[in-house]
Amino acid sequence: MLKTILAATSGLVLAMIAGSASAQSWPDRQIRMIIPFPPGGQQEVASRILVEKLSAELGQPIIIDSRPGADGNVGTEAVAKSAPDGNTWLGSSVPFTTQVALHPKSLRYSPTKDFVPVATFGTTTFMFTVPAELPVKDLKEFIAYIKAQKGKASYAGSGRGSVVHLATEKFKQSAGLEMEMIPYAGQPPAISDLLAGRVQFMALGSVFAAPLVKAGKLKALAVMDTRRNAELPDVPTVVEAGYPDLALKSFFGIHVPKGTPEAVIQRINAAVNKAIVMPDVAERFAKSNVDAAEPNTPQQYGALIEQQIALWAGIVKAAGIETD
Amino acid sequence: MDLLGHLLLGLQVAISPNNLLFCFIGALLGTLVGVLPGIGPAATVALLLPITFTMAPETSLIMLAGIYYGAQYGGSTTAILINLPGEASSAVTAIDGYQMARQGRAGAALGIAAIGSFIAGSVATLVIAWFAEPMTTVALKFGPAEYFSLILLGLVASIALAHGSVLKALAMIVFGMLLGLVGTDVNSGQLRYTFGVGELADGLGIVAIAVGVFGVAEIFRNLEDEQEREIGVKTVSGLMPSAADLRASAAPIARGTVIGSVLGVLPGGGALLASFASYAVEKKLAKDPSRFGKGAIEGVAGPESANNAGAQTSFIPMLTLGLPANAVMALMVGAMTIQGIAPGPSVITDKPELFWGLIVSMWLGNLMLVLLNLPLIGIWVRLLSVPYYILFPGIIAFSAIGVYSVASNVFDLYTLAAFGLVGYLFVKLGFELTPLLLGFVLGPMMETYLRRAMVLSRGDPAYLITQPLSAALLAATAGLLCLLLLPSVTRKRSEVFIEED
Amino acid sequence: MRADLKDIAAGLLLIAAALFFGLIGFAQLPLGTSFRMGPGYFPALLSGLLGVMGLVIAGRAIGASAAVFVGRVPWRGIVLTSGATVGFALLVPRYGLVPALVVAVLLSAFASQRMTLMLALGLTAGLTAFCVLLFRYGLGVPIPLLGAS
Repeated sequence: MLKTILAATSGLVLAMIAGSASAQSWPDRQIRMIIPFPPGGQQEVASRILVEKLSAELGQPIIIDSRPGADGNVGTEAVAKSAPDGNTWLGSSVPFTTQVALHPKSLRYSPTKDFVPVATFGTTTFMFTVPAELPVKDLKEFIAYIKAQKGKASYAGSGRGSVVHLATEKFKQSAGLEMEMIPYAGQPPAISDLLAGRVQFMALGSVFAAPLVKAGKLKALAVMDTRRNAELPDVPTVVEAGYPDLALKSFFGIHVPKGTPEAVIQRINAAVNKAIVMPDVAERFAKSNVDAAEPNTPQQYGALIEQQIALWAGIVKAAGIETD
Repeated sequence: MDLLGHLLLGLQVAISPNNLLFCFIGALLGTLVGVLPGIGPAATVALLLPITFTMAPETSLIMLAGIYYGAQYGGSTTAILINLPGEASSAVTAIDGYQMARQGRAGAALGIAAIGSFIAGSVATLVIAWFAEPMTTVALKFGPAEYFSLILLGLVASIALAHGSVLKALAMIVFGMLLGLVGTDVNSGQLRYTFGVGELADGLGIVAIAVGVFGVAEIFRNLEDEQEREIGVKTVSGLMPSAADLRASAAPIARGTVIGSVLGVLPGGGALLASFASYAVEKKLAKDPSRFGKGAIEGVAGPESANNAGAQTSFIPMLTLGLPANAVMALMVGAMTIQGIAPGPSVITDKPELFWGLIVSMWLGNLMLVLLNLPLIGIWVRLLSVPYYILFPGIIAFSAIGVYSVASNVFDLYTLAAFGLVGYLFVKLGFELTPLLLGFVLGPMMETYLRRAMVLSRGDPAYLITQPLSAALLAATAGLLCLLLLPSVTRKRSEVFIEED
Repeated sequence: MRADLKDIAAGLLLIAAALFFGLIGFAQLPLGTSFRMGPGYFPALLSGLLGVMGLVIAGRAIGASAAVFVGRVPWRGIVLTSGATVGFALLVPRYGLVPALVVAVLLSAFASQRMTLMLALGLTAGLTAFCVLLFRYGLGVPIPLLGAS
């Protein structure tokens, strides 16, 4: 036992010395940004656009490393265990803040104790979508329609504990609806049952929803944001529809392991803030339905994380969907 | 614009020197990773994704698509030569293809696989051009009930894959399904059979299992009697299929193409179901079904065609709706988004040069592949004359790197070692392993669809019958079961019993 | 009594697998209802089925004519080949691709009794070089050649 503690402390001290020594010369080698989800997703697309600029700013190549598994926990754990030298980053997003509430016992990292926030660089939204032939025009009619179904209606969720699932549970709580969740492994597999009308509702990512709504294959009832979506300006926001607490915007950011030198964090933060105001970044983000974030400090991003953790914990508790 | 105009537009895009070059590079890389055990198209596409961002959108998709269907060609090569299927779908090809290779007919098997794949790929490309829209409608008709019934039908039909005991084949399907359940349950988020091993949360790796039970177990089997005889193929009769081979394969290729084109549209297991549905059909239609499993060329021609046709038509849901059918397609959707193209119904109208360019390039790519693969057959066959004790350390090295490269996961390597032993044990006890792999892939899907159907219907099993399409599939399943089990079908019955004894 | 030992062993193996999956599933996984099937529903169904199949296979083997039970088993090959894969797994994350390959190829080479030392060394050098060229430089697989990843 004593040996372990000794080993751990000496390791920590060594790491701190190494960390402070390298803070001067950082970045001196390739940086790795781990995204804990399967490749090809919206977060990866936006991150690639961002790191192209960061890499030019910091003068080192930055590679995007997709490490999917266990709702993002495999990749997140890998970052938590890596050296806090500023060379390994985590691409953080909403699931980073929901896992604590979902797996209070089995989660092997803490989003606040094992990580420090760097910056958030983009946000994206979800939309309330229904099949094209569902006889409703707006959210009010939809709520009346579902209530008339008396528990026969179903909605699509992209896996238990996913943002799509939790957001819809929140909507059900707010509007007093009864709908059964049909689980899918991710959003794309759910879309075909939604298109065919087997499920009556889905809180679908705008990147998937926009083209299908424009083609008339789905109807969008509301966008879960405080402002309207540029792609579909006719769709009202949830605030306009009378559900301001459903403006659950989704965000993308960067975290580093606890112990990363403050100077390094500040440099990454400054580089991110410089990149996200560039017009071509905003333009390329917009094409995959991501809005560039306002320039922000690590403290501001940290506050957002704390607020999100509390928010999702409340939703998980109210819906009773804790899994261990 | 009419179809001809569209195809001309596509041709213009596809034969631009740049696109032609990257189509070739994609097809070549695809063949290579298909041939190498372990490393598959999904890993390769993920590795190459960043490179494609600097290309024009149509060029990047043309290359990524080339990798995908090129891998389907290459995957059959190792299945035939060393009984090592790169993916579940080429496991079916391995059954008769490997036997043909052992009889010195590797050239014929490889040749017919390439020719069948080319014909199937060409026809399926036309299917995409003509019927993409109506086929999408068909795909949407498949809900959880229909998928469940289809998979049930597929699993019952897969009994035809067995050339030994039917009961043992069924047991292997069930065992494979149980292995497929290891990991996180999608519905409840609960871990099943993971014993606290974090790496198991996403289930056992299909590549590690396939390479283990086929490749490694086959090495053990070959080492059994290396003292008595030189392993490997001595006499090689002809590098190309004979006229008789071509005659025997024509109808299977045609049927395989139809089966593959239709089933490929269904996301998930479509192309896989197609390859063994085709095998089952060919065995059923054959005058002498007992030849199957002992090197029947129809057992290579049909499934290979079905597999390749299915690989092509699986592009349909992605192109028309933006819905990826598998991991490779999901990466291509990512490639499109990063190029600023929203995948979805608007791609055909907004970006006709991309849509039609990709379709025409698929045909060109298939042509390149057959031209590339036919001359390679000579080299592959010569590889078989390398003494086995020199060949198999290479198989082990390639497999280990391939399996590890999928996710840099050491646990996958332990899985590989363990399933080599498990596979060998089962072979020793007279089991066949293809059904295990099918159960492993289809079992979890079957469970998901059944549970989804039950939640949708609020627990009413009649839901499976009240959906007309599902009812029809279940009726077909029942019919097939009767055919397989009823004593009145005397020819079948006596044959079953002969095989068992 | 006559019996097909091979099929009896096969049946027993299946029964063991069924018990393994069935008992653990039963202990850990809720069955649920037919409306909301729990994570244990399908495992219970499948292990039941597998158990019955095992019983039938073993049962029918009693009194059947005996087949060759096991035949020859290449123990040396099995141990060395499996050892090659495990050795690769132990070495590759810490020391990189080259040492892992050298060990894996050397071990598996001696799985065959026809292998000679010189041939094994040559094969190891050749295969290692070939794999490095192909995977690292040809395909860009992100495994370091030497050192931890």
